[in-house]
Amino acid sequence: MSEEQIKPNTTVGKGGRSLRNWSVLAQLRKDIAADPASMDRLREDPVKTLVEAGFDMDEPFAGPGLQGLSLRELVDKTPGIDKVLPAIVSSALDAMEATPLLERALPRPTHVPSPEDDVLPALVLANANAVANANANANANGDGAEPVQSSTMWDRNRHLSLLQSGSPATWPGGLKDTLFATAALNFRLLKMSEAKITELIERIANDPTRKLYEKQVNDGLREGFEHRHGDNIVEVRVLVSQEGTRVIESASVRPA
Amino acid sequence: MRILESQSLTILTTDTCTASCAHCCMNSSPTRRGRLSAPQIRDYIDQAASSTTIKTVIFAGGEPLLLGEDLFLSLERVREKGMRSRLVTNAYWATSESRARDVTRKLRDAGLDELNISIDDFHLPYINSLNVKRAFDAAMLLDFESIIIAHCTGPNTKFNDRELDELLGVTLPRIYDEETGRKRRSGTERESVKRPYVAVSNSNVQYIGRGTVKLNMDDIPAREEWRSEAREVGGCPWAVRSPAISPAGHLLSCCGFEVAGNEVLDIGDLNQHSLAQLLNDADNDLALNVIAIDGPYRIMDFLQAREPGLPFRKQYGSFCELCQHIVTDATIREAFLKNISARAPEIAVIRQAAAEQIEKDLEFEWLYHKSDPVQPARDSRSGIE
Repeated sequence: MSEEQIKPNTTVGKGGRSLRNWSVLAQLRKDIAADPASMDRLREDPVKTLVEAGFDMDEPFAGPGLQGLSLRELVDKTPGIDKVLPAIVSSALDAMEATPLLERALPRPTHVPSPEDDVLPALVLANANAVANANANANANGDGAEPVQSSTMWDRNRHLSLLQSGSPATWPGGLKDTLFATAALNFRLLKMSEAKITELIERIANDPTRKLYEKQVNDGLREGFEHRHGDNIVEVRVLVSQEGTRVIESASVRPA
Repeated sequence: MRILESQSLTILTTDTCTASCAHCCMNSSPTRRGRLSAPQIRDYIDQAASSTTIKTVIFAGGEPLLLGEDLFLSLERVREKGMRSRLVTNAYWATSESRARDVTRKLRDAGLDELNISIDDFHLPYINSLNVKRAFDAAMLLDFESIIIAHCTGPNTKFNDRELDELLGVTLPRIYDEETGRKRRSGTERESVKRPYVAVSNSNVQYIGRGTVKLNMDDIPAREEWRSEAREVGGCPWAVRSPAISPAGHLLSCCGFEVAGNEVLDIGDLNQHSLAQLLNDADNDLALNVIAIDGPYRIMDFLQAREPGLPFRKQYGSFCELCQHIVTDATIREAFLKNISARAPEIAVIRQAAAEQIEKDLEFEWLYHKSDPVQPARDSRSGIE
C-alpha cells in the first residue's frame, strides 16, 4: 500500500462505526438496573429519555438487526414507529444484557493457577496476552523489544491487557489471612481497608521501581521491596524460585 | 475518557531506507521518498506530551538516522517533554569504530534511552554485519537504558542464533522463546536493575509487507501451538494502544505493517486533525475496538461462522499476518465491516466495565503514589473528553 493511495479518512469512529450511542445505551442499562423506575420513563418517552442520556439522534446507529439509520431517520420515515420504539430500545438493551461481562473478550491465562494460588488476575491476563505477541514486525519497529524498564509503570489499561514483563507475584496459601491477624505487623498504621492493603502489597511486590535489594538464597532469589506510604514504610519480600515463579514471602509496616 | 489508551507512539519518520529487506513489513527502500519534517515531528511530540498518556516515543522507519540532525533535535524534544525514546536502526552508519562511537554518543547525548539494532538474513545483503557489531560495542560503553538486538529467523534463514552469538561475541538473553512459541523474558529481575538492559528480541519471519511478494510460504515457520494460543488469548494489544504516524502524517492504529490508506486501520490525517481528536475517534471506533478486544483470530472465527466461503488461508504465523489479510483482502474486509455491528452491544458493555475499572485504578494510582516526592494529580489521565 503506497502513500499515494492515501485518501482522507472520514469513517473511523463515525457513523456506523461509532460506539458513542452504544456507550449511552450501556450506561442506560446500568442506570435501569440501579433504578427500575427509569425503565418506566424509557417506555413512556423513549426519545426524550435517550436524548437526555446523551444519545445522538442524528448519528447512524448500527447493531444487530439495525440497518445503520439514525434514530431520527427511523422516527421521521417510519409512521407509527413511536409505538414500537420502546421495544426497539428494549431489545438493544437486552442484547447487552445477554453479554457475558468480561468473560469472552478478555484474554484468559494460558497458565491456569492452582486453587491455592491467589494469582494477581490482571497481571496474569497481561502475561497471557504477551504470549501471543512475539511478532517480527513489532520487533522491527521496536514494539517487540519492550525492555523490562518500560513496563515498570502500573498499567492503567491492564484490564484490557497490555504487555507486561516478569511473572506476577502470588500469595502463598494463608499468608493473606495471617497478615491482618498479626498485630505485630502494624497494618492498622496505614488506616486503609484490608482489601486496599492487599492491593497495595501486590502492587509493591510487582513494582521494580520499589525494589531495594536482591539476595541469592538456597531456594532461589529473594527480592526486597519498600514503599513509603504517608508516614509509614511498607516492606514486602518476594521469593523468586529457580523456575522463575514469584511468591510473596512477607509484608510488614513500620513508621518511617 | 479513552478506553484504548496509548502508552507508546511510533513515529515512522521516513520510508526511505538504505536496505530493501525481503521481509520488510513497511516496504521501506532506498527509492521511497516519504519523510516527516522536523517541525512536524516536534508538533507530534508536543501533542503526545500534552494530550495523551504516551510515555515512550519510538523512532522507526525506514531508517530514522537518515533524518540527520532532525532526528537528534527530535530526540532532544522527547527528553524535554519528559518522555522516553527508543530508536530502531539497521546500523548502516557504523562503518568504523570511531564513527560508531560518535553516532551512539550523539544519540545518547540527545537523550535516547533505548537503542534497537536490527540484524538478520534479510538485512545482511544490504548491511555489513560488522556494522552491527561496532554499533553494539559502542553502545555498550554508554549508559543507555536498554540495547536490544532485533533478530528475525525462519526455517530457511542462515544467520541464526549461533551466528548472532559469534558475531557479538556474547550470548545475550532472548526475549522470545522460539521453542515454545511463548514470549517471555529470559533471566530474572536482576537484569532489570542493571543498566543497560541488553537482550536479543528474536522473532519469526512473517508473510507480511514485502514478504508477501519476496518470500515463499515455506520461508514462514508453521507454529500450530502459537495459533491455538493466539485464538485463546484474543485481543490485539497494539491496535490503537500502540499507534504510529506514517511518513505522510497519517495516524495509524499500529505499526504492524504498512497500513497507511487502509480503510480500517488508517485513523486519519494529522494535517487536518489533532492527535487527541484522532485517538478519540479511534477509541470510539467499532472496528478498531473489535480488533483490540476480540483480536484477529476471533474475528476470523466470527466471520467464518457467518460467511463460510470467505477466502481465509489455512494458516497464519501471527496476529499481524491474519489482521493484514482481514483488512487488505477486499472480500474479507467487506464482510468484516458489514458484520461487526453484531458485536457492538457486547463491545459497549465491555468498554463500560473497563471504564469503571480504569476509575478504580486511577483512584488506587493516586493512593499508591500519594507519598511519592512528585505526587500525581488526582486524575492524571489525559484525553478526558
